[in-house]
Amino acid sequence: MEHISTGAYIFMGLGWGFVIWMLVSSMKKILTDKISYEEDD
Amino acid sequence: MAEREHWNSRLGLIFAMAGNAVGLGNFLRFPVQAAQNGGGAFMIPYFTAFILLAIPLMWVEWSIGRRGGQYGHGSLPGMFDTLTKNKVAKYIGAIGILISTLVMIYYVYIISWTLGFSFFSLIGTFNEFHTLDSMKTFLYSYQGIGEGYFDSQWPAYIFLLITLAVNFYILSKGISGGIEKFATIAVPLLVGFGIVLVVWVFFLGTPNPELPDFSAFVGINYIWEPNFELLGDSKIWLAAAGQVFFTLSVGMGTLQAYASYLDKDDDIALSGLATAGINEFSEVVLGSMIAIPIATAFFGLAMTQTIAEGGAFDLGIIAMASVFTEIPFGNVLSFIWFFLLFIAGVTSSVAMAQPLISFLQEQFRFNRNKATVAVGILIFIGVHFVFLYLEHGFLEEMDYWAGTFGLVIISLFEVVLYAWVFGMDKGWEEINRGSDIKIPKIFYYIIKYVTPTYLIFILVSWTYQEAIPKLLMEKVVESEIAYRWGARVFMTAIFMSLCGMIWLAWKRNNGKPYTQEEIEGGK
Repeated sequence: MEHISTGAYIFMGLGWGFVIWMLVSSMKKILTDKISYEEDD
Repeated sequence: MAEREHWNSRLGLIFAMAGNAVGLGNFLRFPVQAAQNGGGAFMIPYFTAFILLAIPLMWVEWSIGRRGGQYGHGSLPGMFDTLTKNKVAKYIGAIGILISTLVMIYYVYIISWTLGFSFFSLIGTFNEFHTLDSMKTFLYSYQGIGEGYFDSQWPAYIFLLITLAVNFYILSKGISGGIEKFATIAVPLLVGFGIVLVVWVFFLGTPNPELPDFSAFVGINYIWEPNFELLGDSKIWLAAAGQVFFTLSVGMGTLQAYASYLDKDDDIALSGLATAGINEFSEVVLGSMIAIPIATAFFGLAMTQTIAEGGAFDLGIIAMASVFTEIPFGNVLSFIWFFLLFIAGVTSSVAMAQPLISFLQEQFRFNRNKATVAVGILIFIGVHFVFLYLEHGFLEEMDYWAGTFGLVIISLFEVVLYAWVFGMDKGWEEINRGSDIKIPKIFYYIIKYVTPTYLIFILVSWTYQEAIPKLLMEKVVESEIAYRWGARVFMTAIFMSLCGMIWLAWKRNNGKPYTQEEIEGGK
């Protein structure tokens, strides 16, 4: 782990953070709100 | 009255769309691009392009698709025709079918390699090939472009046939019964496989303590260490835009085809974001943590850079297979890696056949099975050229014009058509109808002004830097010229055939699609 620089940690954290936030927040809303298109009908 | 096919569940649609987007590029192309273009700093142009280019284009394509589906169209000619009265639009829409079909022709062959290597992993066929050179010889003999372990191309041909059979079996089962069911299993499985490999990378660390620089963490640092000096270079902004562009599968006609099976008021804004989220997780989180860190742990950083410069297959197939021969449980991990690539490939390739299948169903009244067989025959014939002439640049020629340049052409046309001809006010209403989230109004202006400008910038740069030299075959060796012309004639012939079919369909009935009831009656 000592091979990873602070800059790399920061950008990895930002990149991962953004992606995971986008995935989790969108899927959470979908799973809690509506599941099936047929149910919507 | 029979209804048009539709998705069974929202999650199924999201997995199918995500499966379409997640492909070999997420695991092979992204880490190489990131590492070569500024490391962590690459994320700045990458996410800029993601927000200004990929997300807006994705929403536009979902919207065009959902709207087209309301008119009974599942492919771009009909969809474009409903957006404008201009008679030329439907012929430009033919490029949307052309691109996805051409890419599928060579993509199925590439993913058949990963199926072959999955099988070889399990039975230990390449266990004795520890070095890069010996593994390269193994791969080349498998592909029939060099002498080595395999005496003939029959093994490659058999895995190609199996790959084709898997694809067309899924497609024959239809949207919800085939594509959706497969994606619902395949996408979680490939993400799971990816997570297993990432966890293993963390445990791998520095496999040989006597060589402390041969470490997975050196590879991770190589990908993420920011180099801000490169941000002033337009090359990395272009590379980032290119990567973002490929990763979400925009410009292929496949998102529109899938979205056409939505209902009029089904949400597209949030579902689109969820799809992009799965794709980006596979790319930024998983893709950055597997191939380059593993290669660095066994070959060192300098060698890994050299391998990566050789291309995605040198890294993803030759180097990875070679590494897995060196470690405990290597056969299992190797199988996980290659089967992950295979699944990622198939979830994308089935999407590529869908526009042409829809077109044949809706304009020529082919039922699902007949349309699948017809497209299967075309792909089967086409892939033989790629299979036989791989070493002569046939695949490369198709990949550049269909899989690279063509995507930008169709994307630019569709965003201009949508925002400026159809009209951004109507377009904005279309995107937001049924939306489960409120899209910030700034995207109205991004779609209208920024995305087309971005695409023009990419198109002009690529034309100047690559397309003209490629067109003139400036760096092509003499022996390949005839084959590359053959690829061009092949692509042109399919395009002209599609234009002829569109002409016939519009002459017959002004492009009015057959209803599901008429289709099920079949020919």
